[in-house]
Amino acid sequence: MIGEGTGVLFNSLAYAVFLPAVFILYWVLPHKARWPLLLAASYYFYMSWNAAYVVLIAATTLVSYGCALLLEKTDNVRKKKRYVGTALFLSLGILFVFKYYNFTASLLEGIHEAIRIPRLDVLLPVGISFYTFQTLSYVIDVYRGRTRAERNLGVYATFVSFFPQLVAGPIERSSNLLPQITSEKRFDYASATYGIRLILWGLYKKMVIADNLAVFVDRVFENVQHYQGYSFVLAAFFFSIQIYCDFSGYSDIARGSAKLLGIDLMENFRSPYFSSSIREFWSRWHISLSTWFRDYVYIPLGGNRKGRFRTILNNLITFLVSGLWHGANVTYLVWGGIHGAGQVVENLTGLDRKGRKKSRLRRIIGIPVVFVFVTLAWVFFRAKSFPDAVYVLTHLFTDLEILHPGAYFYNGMNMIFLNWELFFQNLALYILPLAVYDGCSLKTDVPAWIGQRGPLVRYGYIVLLVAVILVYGYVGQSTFVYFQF
Amino acid sequence: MWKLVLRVVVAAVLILGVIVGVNYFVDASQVITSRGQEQMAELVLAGHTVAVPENYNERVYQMALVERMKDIPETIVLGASRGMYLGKEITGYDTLFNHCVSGACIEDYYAVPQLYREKFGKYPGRVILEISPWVLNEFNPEIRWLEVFSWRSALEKLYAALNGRKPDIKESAGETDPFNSDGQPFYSRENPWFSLPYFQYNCYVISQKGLDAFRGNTARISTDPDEAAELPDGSVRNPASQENPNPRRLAQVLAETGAVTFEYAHRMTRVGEKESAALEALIRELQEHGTEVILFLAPFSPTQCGYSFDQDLNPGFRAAEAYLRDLAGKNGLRLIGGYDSRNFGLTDEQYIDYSHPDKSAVKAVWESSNPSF
Repeated sequence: MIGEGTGVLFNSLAYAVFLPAVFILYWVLPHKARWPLLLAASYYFYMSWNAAYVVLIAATTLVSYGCALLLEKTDNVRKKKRYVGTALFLSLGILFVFKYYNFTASLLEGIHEAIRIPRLDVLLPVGISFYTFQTLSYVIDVYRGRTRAERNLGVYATFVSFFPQLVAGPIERSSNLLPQITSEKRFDYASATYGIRLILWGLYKKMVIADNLAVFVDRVFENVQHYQGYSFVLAAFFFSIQIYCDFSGYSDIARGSAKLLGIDLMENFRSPYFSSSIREFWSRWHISLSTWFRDYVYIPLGGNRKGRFRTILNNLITFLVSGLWHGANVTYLVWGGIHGAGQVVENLTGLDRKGRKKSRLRRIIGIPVVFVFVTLAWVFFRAKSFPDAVYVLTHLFTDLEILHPGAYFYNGMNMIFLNWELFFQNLALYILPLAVYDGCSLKTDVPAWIGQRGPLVRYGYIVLLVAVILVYGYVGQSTFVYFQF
Repeated sequence: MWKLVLRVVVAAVLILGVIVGVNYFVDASQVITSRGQEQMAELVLAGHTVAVPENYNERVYQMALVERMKDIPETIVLGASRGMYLGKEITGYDTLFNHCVSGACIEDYYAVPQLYREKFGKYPGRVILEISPWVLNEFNPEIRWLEVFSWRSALEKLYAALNGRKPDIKESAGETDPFNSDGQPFYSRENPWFSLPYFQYNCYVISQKGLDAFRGNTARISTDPDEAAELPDGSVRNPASQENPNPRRLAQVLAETGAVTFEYAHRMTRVGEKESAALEALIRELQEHGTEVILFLAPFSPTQCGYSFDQDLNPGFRAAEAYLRDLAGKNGLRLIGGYDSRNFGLTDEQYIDYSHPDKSAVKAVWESSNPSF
């Protein structure tokens, strides 16, 4: 469970007031006053979730800030290791206490019934995994000499807490974000409208696609024993779309919001469901996290430089840690393990190798195969427990009669209160526009392309998205899935 | 920068304008305008049987009626859907008007008397209170009394005057309140003018009805027994398929199994303190002003009684009836009916569903003055 309070959600009226207010103030104020404004706005944004947990982000900020300064002051390797170790220990320690302590306690208790460990009654501070990893990468980069330590605590605190990406990423590198916070900027109309187009597309993905599909998904996964067959297939498929739209929608709004302030955040998703291998999928999905694990876990473990066996092992370790990063639950570990195993198999069979001759055929076959693989793995990610996930996967085709498949489809849809009209509405409103947009994104930057077109296309895009969001958007309160990580 | 701000502001105003415009001109649930209800009230008071326009708001309709009445009726009926058949024909009272509204809870009982007091300076001479057990249920999650501002204002005035405080607005209905599971308030505080969910519903109605959606739901005189209608005495006529005994209706009655869960009745084990105090305060007020009060208890179907009473799946029903009988005895009220239909010799064939007796059943209950329980 994440921290109490609903906070200023991107898909709320509060944010529709908050963002324009920050935007106007930001550009009205002189350059020197801008980062303090961003810092104040970011802390207000974070405190709207749970004011008490501001202590944690402040502590993480201070620890990483101090350690980075100390790291830069000394050339003594032993001291450097001590400083970086301290930063890792304290930052990961806070993360462990709030996210993994109870999980570890229950695992240890499972070893022997005599073991009894008291539990902590704490709520998971929103975004803790994101900002912890962001500060860790900063300290490690300073340790490696790849970036300079920031002297100004306020600027550094703004880097850690920058509100558009605070609670669910992208996990920014200091080399990208820190200079942008202090650099002098002039308002750029084209850049700002690009941001608005991104925000609208993000809202469409979140409110229209993800939240409406969540209704069907939640119905099934909250009570798996009540369902079977095709309803599981639909729920898994819908969740695959939901999680992508939920998370990438958040990232788009985050990037769009930052763009309004003249700041470029890294791209976090690049049409991941058009991947023809698991490896490619991870180069397109949650890019800021996958590159983080590549740079700070996989490569330090030896990457692919120490032989085939170590490559396999490093791959598996990286994906298991990635799974655990998402949550303190066996289901996330399994999910990570499945992806790790998938990549190992690809690696061993050479399926992930690049090659121009085979590329078209491989893509035609690979894209649906990878999508099905990823979708089945998502079942572990979404299920409430490991037995639930196994139940879903082992009941995907119950009641399917090859000679009379109609009943299988009809019953499955009926169980989740889905009829053909709704099914095609989902397809037309959600899946097709998403596929077209993502397909186009493979070749071009869609918001930028729209910005270069005539007024009919530019305004048409905005009017159409606003209209669809207003008419079909889910308007109940819904948080983002990745806020819990 | 200001150019962009200006454009965003213009867009925001346009969007708001579209939302408000659609909500006002379509107003599919008639929560902003009262056109349909006003037409209905005029026709009913002119002595017509009026076909019910789609989605009309019963509380707005009641207000429109009282507002247009020239004389105060001698007898009125207050209650919920289970009391809607109580009309002139059944009770024998000539100047009677039935003001029952669906989903009535104790707060609703205060609205119509207050409207009469404001309009005529007095209460009607006789008030029949149809009281279902869940009216006295402390977990009753019903919120319809809150939805119409002027209805709520009227009932709050009288409620506050008689109870020393305004009625509580429940934020939850107990520990396992499903409405509150996402941390949302228990009821909608949405303003229908600006409400996005209401806008979406209105758009859905437009998609179904086309431009007709903007023409509103017109009330009209009806002689067709196959359609639902409001009768000139405020009582109702259900469509013939529901009004008269038939196998399909019976199948529905028999299909109901287990405890009554409507208005969280299954969680009711006793009479709520606040609810009973509010009921007693209202009765006291009416009696002090010379109004005769009659309590009417509509029975549940025999099949349902098997679950609710024999299997004791709704213990609150027995407690509510015992309380009401005691209240009637202490205050010299006439009590007609009871919750167990078997005491009146009713059959499942006389029911529309598990809780709604048909007209013949209501007549039979009314005519049996003092059933044994």
